[in-house]
Amino acid sequence: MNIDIAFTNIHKTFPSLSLYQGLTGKIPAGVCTCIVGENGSGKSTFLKILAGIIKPSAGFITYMDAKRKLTMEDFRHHAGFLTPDMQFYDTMTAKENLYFFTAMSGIELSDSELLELLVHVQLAGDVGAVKNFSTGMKQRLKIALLLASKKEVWFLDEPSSNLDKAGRTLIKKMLFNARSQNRTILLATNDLVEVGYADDVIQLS
Amino acid sequence: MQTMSSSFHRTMLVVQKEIKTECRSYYAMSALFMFSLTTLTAISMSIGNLQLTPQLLAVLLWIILFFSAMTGLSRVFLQEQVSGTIQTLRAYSDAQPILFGKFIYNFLLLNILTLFLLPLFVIVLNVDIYHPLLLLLIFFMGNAGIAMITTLIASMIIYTQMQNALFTVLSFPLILPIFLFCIQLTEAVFVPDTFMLQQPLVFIFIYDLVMIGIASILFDYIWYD
Repeated sequence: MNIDIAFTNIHKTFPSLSLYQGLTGKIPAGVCTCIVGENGSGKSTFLKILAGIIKPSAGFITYMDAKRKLTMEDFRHHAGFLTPDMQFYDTMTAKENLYFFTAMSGIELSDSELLELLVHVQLAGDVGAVKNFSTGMKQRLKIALLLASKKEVWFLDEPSSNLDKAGRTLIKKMLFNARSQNRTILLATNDLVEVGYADDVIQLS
Repeated sequence: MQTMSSSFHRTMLVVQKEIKTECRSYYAMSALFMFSLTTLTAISMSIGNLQLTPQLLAVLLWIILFFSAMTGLSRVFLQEQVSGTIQTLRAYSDAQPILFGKFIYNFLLLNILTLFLLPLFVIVLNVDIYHPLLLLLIFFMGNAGIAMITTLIASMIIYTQMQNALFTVLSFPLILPIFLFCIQLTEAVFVPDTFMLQQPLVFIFIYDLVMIGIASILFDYIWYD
């Protein structure tokens, strides 16, 4: 699938804050777009609006697959996420969490596939329940979930945050592979290295 | 081998997940069981040897069940919100398997609580049950309605303040019709000569179906908005 995302006249207001005043643009399929801006400029909120997780106060988003308009529900089946506010079940293991969320997204992985993914993100072995994980380990589990869900459009919010050097290399490889597979990537970040991967940049002020 | 999981399978996965996490934390179970146990003890100690009428017994039984439900059933969504897992669920799951998975879990929890509470209630308050199968049917249908309403309300209050108070206040008017008819039916179970029961049973059945339908329609909006 090649999904283009168009956003028209997007406004978002909170009780004491007005974030955008009519953002309009297009994110073509297969392109890596970076959303940059100062802290509090609404990068994460804009990413969630584009993903359909939250609604804009005004304006609308259109998802087009070739010439067919996708509903929000249809689009969500093609969207994968890696955001800081996503968490896992503390009392469950990495494998249990990974199995649960991938199955909920419609893909059921075998034991060996789950293990392969955990090895890939360096979380294999007896690492126990997620409650014992460091923030970096949880970030790696989010990466595993994103890879496992095999979505065409990726929404990444500060993907390298809390990761060590090996983790950052993992993100770099992941983005490189995603681009070679013609995935659409939306990346909210202020990390200059991550910005360097982008074809296009949306600057929020 | 990757396979697509059906909606039913995903619903059951949510139920399994709820049971698994509950068995590792006992958060809702302990709240429900401790509340019902302490309430029953308080009632039995305060009434002493007093012989209660069937109507009063039915009222007490359903009051214990209602307030026990209020203490533990909101957890299915509140815990997801507190721990941040609701964002991951939102990102990777459709709404309906979540609603029905959590409804089935709350329904199971209420039925387990009933099976725990009922024998204690009968022993402690010296109650005669003349129609045990009918009583189980009443609980089954009443619990289904309560579970659906509390699951829906719990999903609505997660982003509010004073969640516990709101949960009870919003749930009560919707549960009230079930509550009143269940009391009426339960009273009939505690007397030897049963009066006409068909109408309230049919009412509860229809009310349950309507609540399930409404919850299913509303939940998509609650989940994505």
